[in-house]
Formats: sequence, structure tokens, C-alpha cells
Amino acid sequence: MSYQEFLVERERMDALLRRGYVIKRVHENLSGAFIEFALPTPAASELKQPLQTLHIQTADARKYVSSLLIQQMKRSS
Amino acid sequence: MADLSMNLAGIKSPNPFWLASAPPTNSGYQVQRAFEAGWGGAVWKTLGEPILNVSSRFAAISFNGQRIAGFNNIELITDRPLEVNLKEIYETKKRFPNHAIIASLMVEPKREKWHEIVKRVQDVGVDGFELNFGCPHGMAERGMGSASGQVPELVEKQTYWVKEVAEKPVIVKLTPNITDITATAEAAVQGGADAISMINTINSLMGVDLDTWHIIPHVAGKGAHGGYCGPAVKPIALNMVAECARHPRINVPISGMGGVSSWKEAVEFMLMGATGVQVCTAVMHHGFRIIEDMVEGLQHYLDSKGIASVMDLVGKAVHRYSDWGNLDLNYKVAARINTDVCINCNKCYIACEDASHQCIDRLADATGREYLKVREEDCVGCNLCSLVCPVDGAIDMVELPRECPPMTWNERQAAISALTVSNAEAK
Repeated sequence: MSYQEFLVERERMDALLRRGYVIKRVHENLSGAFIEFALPTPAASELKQPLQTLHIQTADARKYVSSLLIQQMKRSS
Repeated sequence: MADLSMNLAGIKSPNPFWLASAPPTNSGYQVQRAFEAGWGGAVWKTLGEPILNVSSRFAAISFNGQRIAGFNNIELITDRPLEVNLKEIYETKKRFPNHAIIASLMVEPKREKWHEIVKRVQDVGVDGFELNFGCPHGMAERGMGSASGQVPELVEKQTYWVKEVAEKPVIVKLTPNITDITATAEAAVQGGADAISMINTINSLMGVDLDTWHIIPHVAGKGAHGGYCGPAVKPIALNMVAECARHPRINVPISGMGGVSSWKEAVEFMLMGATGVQVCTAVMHHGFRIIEDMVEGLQHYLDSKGIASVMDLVGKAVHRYSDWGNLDLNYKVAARINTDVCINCNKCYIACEDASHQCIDRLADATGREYLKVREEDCVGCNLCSLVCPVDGAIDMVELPRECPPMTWNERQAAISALTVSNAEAK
């Protein structure tokens, strides 16, 4: 899988983070990783989509989301 | 000048280079000539009940012009009576009192057999014993050698029996023909070993003659598995030394061997935890006088690094050896082709295209001159292109700037587990 595919997946995750989402759940299986993002305190505009799930396939993006998760946990601890 | 003298579990020698128990240490004539040449110690060819050997005993693999890249033997332990060996050991020790002579021993796994041989051998003044629990051929069919060395309980029990009567340090020589060498190493420690040594030879079948279909080597048309050694086995041996060196319950010195051909491999083994090395195949290939380059090379290396004693090398790189799960997933290297050095042979392109990640492009500049270029963003840093490249300096593997903080697999899994637990608790 190419670097371009990684960039697309990273941008999808970054976009959610910019909107205030946090990583809620990581589910990995034969198809890659399914990352559930949630709004800690759903803003009115987001109420229809308090949860977002992304299917992450590239290895680099799965590394990236792991790094994000560790940073998120460090911030909240 | 750095101090090259070595002390392994109380066995002292003027340098860390010992001859391994093998054909070069078969007799006093050979060991004395080796000491004259400069070897620091010798592990005498294994003593035991004199055996009968077959004719046609050795075989070797040559690879791309390098003779004896790997070596195989089906020779057994000494075929000479114990008294003859002991007389020569005594004479050799008397002539070279400051050199280390270690007696390699192998008998049936019976307490009285070990007691008898240890008592008789230590009377002639050896500096230590090496218990041969590693020889994989012939003797193993009789319950000795690696047949003993593959069973941790037998290693522990026999080591204990030897320690009951030994007045000199006991080294237990381990077989690599086992899934986890730390299991038998730990058994040796439990049995009271003062040190361990590794590796003995690896089970091997060197080949089949394409014309006659004979096993190589064959004895009147039949062959049997042998013990493999030489430069080809060095990575296997180095890993086993390192695994033992970093094991928390294996806290005795290690004598390292397996593919040591020059001072460089000796330094590698010592950095990974060996207190000195043993050498056999390189001597069988080139003779005793290789020791001159080994001593000189080691001396220069230590002096150039400002290291006062060769013993200061021991174990210095062990902390860098870990499990895969502790490696940083966010560390990145990428290949960079130096077009001014590259000869455009396309070996790297073919390797990357066929066996790796298809990230080398064949391009042409404005003048039509062809060149190769790596798309660094797609390169996974596997090293394959630089490994197949025939020109030194044509491909560098360069570190890329970090995009994320260091993160190991173990840290990643711990974070995901913690997230799962946190979610469960929140419900």
C-alpha cells in the first residue's frame, strides 16, 4: 500500500481530531483496524454523529493512530 | 598498550583466544606449537573412552569463491588412550605454565564415570574442565554429547556430579541443537557450572554428489549427519551467546565460539557477553599462525578505542539486545542511491521490484543518462537494495526525521489494552 493511501487515512483521522473527537475504541482484525472516534462532550452540531468509525488499512496509518492513542492517554493521565 | 589477558571463572590466559576442543588440540605436539604461535589457551580434544573413527570425515561448503564458508565433520572424540593424553597435557602445562589448558571431557551419564575421569585428569594440572554436552554425531547415538546436552535434567545432574569432585573451574559446553539454549544453560548453572561455552556444532548434511548420489562425505557409500561450524554459523552462535548473556538467571561467564575467524568476530562475541572466544575452523583452514593477526588486530582495536583491558569489552552491547516487541516502530530509515557512485547495474531495482516494496524508479536526465532514484516516502527501510548492491558507497541507508515519538509494539499493545479496560469500566 502506498504512501498516498497512508496520507489519505491520516488526514481522515486528523480531520476528526481537529473537530474534537478522541479515540474511543480500537478493534483490529484481518481487515486492519477499525478505530472508533467519539466526542467527549458532543457539540450541538455533531449530535447526529457522536461516534465515527474509520477503517484503517495501511500499516503506517495503524502505527500513526497508535501513536495518537498513546499521546491521548498521556494527556488524560 | 591494552591488557589482553583474560580471566574466565578463574582460568587465566595471556589473551582471550583459545583453541576449541577439536582436531587442532589432539596432541601435545599441536598444542605446544599453538602456544608458541601465540594462542592463549587450548581446550584439549575431548577425553573419554578412546573411540574408533571412520575414514573420510570432513566436508566443506565453498561459496562464491570463499573456501570453507561452512565446515562439517563426523570425527569423534580422542582415539588415544587417556594415559597418552594426560602425559602430553602434563608436559605441555609444564612448558607453558601461564597458558590455559582445559580438558574437554565426555563419558556416559553415570556418576562414577564422571568422578573417575575428573579425578584422573585434574591430577596432571589442567586449569579447568569443559564438559562436552554438544557433539552431535556418533557419540550422541551412545547417549553422550548432544544426547545428554538436549535434556536439561541430564545437564544439571552431570554438572553436579563433576562439581562434586572437581577442584578446578567447570565449563559446560552446550549444544545448539535445541530450541532454546537458555534452558540447558540455566540447567548447567543450577548444576553448579562455573562457566558455559557455546556453540558446539550444528546437525548438518553437507550435500549429495550429483553424479554418484553419494552423501557428502560418504564412507563406503553411506553417510551420516555431522556437525556444522565455520564462518556460516557465526550469527547463530552470536545469538545464543547473547540470549544467555541477557538471561537474568544465567549469571556465569560465557566462552563464545562458532565462526570466529578473526579479531573482529572475537570483539563481537565479547561485546555480546562472551569472556573470551574459542576457535577451530579458521585454524583448520589457515593454521595456527592466524593468531598473530588476531592478537595484533585486537590490540590495535582496543588502543584505538582507548580501552585499557580486553575484559572491559565483555557484555558492553548486551543491553542493546532485546525482544522485537521493544523495538521502536516509529524509527525510519530509507535508502538513498548515490548516483555518482552507482554503476547502474539495476541489482537494487530488481530486488526492490521483485522482492520488496517497488520504490526505486529508473529515470533519465535531460541528456538521456539513466539513473536510479528511491521514492523515500514509499521505502520501508528493509535494507535489501543496499545488501544486493555490489558497489560500496552506492547506497546509503539514512535515518529519516521523526514524525512521531518512539513507540514499541509492547507500548502500543499496552495502550490498546488500557483503552479497552477503560471502556469496560465506563460501562
